[in-house]
Amino acid sequence: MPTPLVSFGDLADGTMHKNQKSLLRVAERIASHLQRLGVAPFSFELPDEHWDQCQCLIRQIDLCVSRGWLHAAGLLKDRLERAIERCSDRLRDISRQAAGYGRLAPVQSAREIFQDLTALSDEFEGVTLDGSSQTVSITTQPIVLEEIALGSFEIRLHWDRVGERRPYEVVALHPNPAGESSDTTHPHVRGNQLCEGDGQAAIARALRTGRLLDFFQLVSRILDTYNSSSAYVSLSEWNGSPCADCGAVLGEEDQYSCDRCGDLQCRDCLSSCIRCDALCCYSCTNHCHSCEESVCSRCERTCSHCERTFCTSCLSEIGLCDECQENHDAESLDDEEFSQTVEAQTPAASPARESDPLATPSTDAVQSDCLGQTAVRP
Amino acid sequence: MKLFFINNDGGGFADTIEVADNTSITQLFEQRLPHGKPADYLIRVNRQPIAADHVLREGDRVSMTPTKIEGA
Repeated sequence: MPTPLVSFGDLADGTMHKNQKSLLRVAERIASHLQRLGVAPFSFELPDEHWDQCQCLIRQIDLCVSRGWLHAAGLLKDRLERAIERCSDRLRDISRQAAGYGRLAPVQSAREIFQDLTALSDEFEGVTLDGSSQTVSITTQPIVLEEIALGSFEIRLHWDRVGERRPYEVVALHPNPAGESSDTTHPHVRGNQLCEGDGQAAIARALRTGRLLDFFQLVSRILDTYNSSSAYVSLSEWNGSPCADCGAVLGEEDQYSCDRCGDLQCRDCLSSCIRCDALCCYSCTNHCHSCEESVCSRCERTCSHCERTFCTSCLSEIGLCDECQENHDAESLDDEEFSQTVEAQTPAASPARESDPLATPSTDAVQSDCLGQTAVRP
Repeated sequence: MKLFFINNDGGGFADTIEVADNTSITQLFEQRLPHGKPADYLIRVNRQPIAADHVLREGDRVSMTPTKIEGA
């Protein structure tokens, strides 16, 4: 935390005179810097962040469509439309800025800048000037938008960077960031940078002409305004969390968790196991190669021969899939036939009756002819 | 009489303007922002809040900033 050159929060009436000289010195330095800028070209900030966001969303939509996550794709498409609109708005602002560039009012005198710095304490709290880091900062009132408390913000202007791309920061003092994006501390602030929207041209003019009071008023007004059609994260999704698979932001009532790994999921990204009815994410789900139904990581089995994944119903008692079982059965049948063939080709045993007195006598020589008579065959 | 008038609505305007003597702040608002409502603006004269019937004087600095400015 820098040691402030002047902190209006600590001023009492008796010390005002001493600090007024300090304020005037700062005002002179600011005026001097702005005068030098007077001949410098205006810097235009193209909407690179919004463009990058559009490209990221397009990639996410393609991924969702390829996986059949149509609901998530629809949500992302809405966000893409808003991101494209932000890009368009920014380009229109830049166009207006470029058109008005040649009509800037003259830079304020050091005395007027001094009066602006003095008036800051009437409008804001926590006014701090730091000569070593060349910053002027104010603290806003706690900001609440649509019942979501975002806390106070420090608007920190680096006066030596006026004329450059990002001469100021908006820092959340008690951050309550969006669930899906920890560096989005306000619907229109990401990475401590405010997306100025409708205020961009007025802010640029105020800074370039040294109207510091106007600058801080403009920024604080933007922070106190919610533009639902063009926010980094909408307030309706502020406390949501992203689906682990598709990234869609989920409100509390739309949140599910995988029954196997516990990851947060949207309903569209969960599959029901055909065996146990568990709801599982993409990573914890497989598909049976036979019936093609979803099967969870606990219910899946692998064929002991081909090692592909199947549900328990599609494996035989010995753990083979239909295909491997058929092959197994065919091989078993071949083996059996081979065994039978071998047995058939083995010679029959020799008769033992003539030398065996106990052998059953042949009945060929004696034939019964009729009852009580015996015919002897010649 | 001459005033330094700052309109922070839209693209921003800051320049010296000529108005009739004894123009009040309300009258100036109606002239410069005919479609707006004073309650929707921070109106400052010489960097201070003023009453609606305040009469402007030569050399006054008047600023009007919307209370709602939409970010992106």
